[in-house]
Amino acid sequence: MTALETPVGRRQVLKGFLIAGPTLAVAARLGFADGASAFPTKTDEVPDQQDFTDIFIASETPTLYDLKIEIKPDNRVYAEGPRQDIGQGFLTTFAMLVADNLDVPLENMDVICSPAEQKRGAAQITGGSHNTRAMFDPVRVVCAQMRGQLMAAGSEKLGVPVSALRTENGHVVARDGRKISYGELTALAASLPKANTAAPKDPKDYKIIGKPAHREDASRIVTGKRQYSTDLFSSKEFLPTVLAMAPTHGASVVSIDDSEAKKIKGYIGNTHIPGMPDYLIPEGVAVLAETFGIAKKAKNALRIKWSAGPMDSMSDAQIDDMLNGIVDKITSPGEGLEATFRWPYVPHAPLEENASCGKFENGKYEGWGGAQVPTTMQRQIAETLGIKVDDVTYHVIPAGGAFGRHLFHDQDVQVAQIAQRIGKPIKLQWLREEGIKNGRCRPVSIHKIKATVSNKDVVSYEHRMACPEMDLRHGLGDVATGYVTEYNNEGACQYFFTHTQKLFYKTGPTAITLKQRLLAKPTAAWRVVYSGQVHALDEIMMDELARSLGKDEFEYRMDMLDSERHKAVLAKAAEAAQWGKKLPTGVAQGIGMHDEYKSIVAYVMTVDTRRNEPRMTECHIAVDNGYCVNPMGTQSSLFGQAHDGFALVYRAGLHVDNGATRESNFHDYKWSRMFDSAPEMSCSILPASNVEPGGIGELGVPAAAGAAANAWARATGKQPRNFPLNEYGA
Amino acid sequence: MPVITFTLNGNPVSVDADKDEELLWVLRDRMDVHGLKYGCGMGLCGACTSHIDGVARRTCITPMSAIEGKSVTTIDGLAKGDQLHPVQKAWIDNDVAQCGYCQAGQIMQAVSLLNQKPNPTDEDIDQAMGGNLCRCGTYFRIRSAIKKVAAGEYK
Repeated sequence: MTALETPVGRRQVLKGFLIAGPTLAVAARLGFADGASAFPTKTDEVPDQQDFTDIFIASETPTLYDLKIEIKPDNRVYAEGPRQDIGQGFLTTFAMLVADNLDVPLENMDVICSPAEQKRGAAQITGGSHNTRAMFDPVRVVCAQMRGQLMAAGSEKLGVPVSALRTENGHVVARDGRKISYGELTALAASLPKANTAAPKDPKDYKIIGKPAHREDASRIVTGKRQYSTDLFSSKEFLPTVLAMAPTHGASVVSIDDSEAKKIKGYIGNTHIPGMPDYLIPEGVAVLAETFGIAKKAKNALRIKWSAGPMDSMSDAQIDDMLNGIVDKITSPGEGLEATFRWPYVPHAPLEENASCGKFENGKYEGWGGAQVPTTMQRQIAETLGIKVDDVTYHVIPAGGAFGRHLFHDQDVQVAQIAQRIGKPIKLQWLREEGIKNGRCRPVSIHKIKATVSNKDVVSYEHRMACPEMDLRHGLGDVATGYVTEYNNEGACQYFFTHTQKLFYKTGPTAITLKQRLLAKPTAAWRVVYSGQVHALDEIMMDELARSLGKDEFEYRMDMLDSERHKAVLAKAAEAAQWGKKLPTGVAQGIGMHDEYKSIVAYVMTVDTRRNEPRMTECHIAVDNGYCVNPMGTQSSLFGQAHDGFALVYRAGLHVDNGATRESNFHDYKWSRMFDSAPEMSCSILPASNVEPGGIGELGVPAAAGAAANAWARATGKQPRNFPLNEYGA
Repeated sequence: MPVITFTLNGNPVSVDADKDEELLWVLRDRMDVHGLKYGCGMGLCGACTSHIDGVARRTCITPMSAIEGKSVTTIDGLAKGDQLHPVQKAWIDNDVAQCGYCQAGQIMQAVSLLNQKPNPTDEDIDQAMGGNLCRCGTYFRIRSAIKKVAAGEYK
């Protein structure tokens, strides 16, 4: 796996679904009937029929109804959510779903993330923005069963038939007004034979779902009591440990000299760990000390000799050459709008850098970390320690951000290896420098796009993307390939790409394709996978098409959008933003939209380019997320994603120099700051368009990025092609 | 190691630590105070922000030599018992946090700003809060919460 590239049997893997692939539609849709133009038209694409949310739900359904919800004698309700809360608010949403469907007050809920449970198969994955949708019906059904059981117990205690009882506010209530709390009934209810289920609640009767709710951990966060992984234990018990990792990607340790480190008071020692090279989990030298501060100084004092790495001959230029060599060619011969774009490598950089705790005692392992796919971690830890999966306990601790970074929890494997070698409990904290230089990234990508135009109509649309291979071996592949074939990462990528990438404009037949080649620099899914690059650029193309045809960017989209649902969302955002209002020269609005996870969003962002670095001055968002469970969380997430889009377009990006990542910390890896953030923002949530919720956690990023780039183009008259614009847009 | 004496969250304390050790790690690893967070170790992200004699400082680059005899307040000691600081109330009421990891630093920075400028302008907020990185992008709600505290909505 350290080789630069691996041959890929893509054809074999794709055999099963090439028939449904996006390119075959071209021949079927071209042509004119009776001399009339068949355009503009939208081609039905794979995700229009079945998208990855559908695949998630289908593959997970067998285990989703297995939920742990307990009513305690004090009438509090303890519930384990089989997902991770990484700031997207899953635990809050989950608490709302349980409380409403169980008829208990929201403040009675105690929710935690389920520990890793192998019985959940591929279903314990926090990714793909499908948590709320996945849990929606299972919670509804399970809570109805529980209410049925509680009413059976209430019937016995109150001496009236179940038909004369109802549930309300944590109580079983009789028609005569007598009531008895769930807590008083819970023991009896558990001992009774299985009763008939109560009727699942009708969504029109929901009292909590659909109303704004604060984060369940809000007061713990503001008082410093919310515990992240390394806050759980004293550093006197779990030894502070940092890692030295290779200066160039894929390099290995040759020798370690700690004679200088030994002079540092508080330094405990070091141990070499192999990582898991087959999974691109970096090897390294673990450095232990009394405090992390001392461990960092000792790490810097180590003299480590590293081997050459497999991509030491590659810098950005060579990577670009490789990508330009593999990207699919534009095939349409017609006239139109054609452009090439480039996005750089972007690390996830959650504010809590990779951290985990673990102890290995008597042949068994117990770990605490923020993995998004804890079952995969449990298996990898067992594999690397040479013990049974059953002997690995893994507690899922809500993490300080993720954005995809914790899909792979490389530090869990590393902390397990360290704990086994040292024989003491370990608290591992990646230093930010290691995280930026050695952590996983959204891969750099090259995009060749062409909209072929005839008679002022777009008659076909090609989007050819090439990037270093995306690593999906965190468990997402299990979801995909469990459905298709045995695991093959490139196959999983193609499968995922095909089931997520589409255009919702009437651009005629589309061909959206991906070519990848494996490099040693580790990658991972990054918030709104592939679409973050692909669709943000499609939004730039829509703006440039509009202008090339002499049309207003908003009006053109309204003509080109294929559904009323899309048009309603765009119209709402444009209304809130007062699209077209007069602004000073150098200040402009930009539009971006996205449709994924069964949700649709539009951003209208205003950017002021008159200053040293452009600044977002207003941002107005509209969303149709099917059935919105928590408007407070939905708005919060979409506001946040405005800053992702802004940073991706203007600020963020890594460089590769001779196999090494150039940047190292937040001074050279730049992200959105308060002084980029718009003082005026709004988020309109459209009335429910569905009976089930759509996803929100990643949805806004391509739209926000498109809007940020389009505002810059309209303000400056320049064409955004190479990101970030603060570096390449001059 | 030298014994360094200072006031921590209102209580006199002393700790064995070298003078060049950073306050962040002495508090977290030697004194089990975990509310303040590590994010960068270079004073670039603000997650470790706490007050030294009432002013926001980056504890990840503050040596213990600068702490002797000083008063240190971390997020853990901002509330007076059960009585939350108005900024903490505003943070809850405006549902500012997402992952929450940066918020201890954001809150301590905001308290320091409001102590110095009770009615900050947008430019004041940009400047004072610009060193506190929020990867979730909660800036709009941070700004709103600060303005509401300034307007006297939270006592």
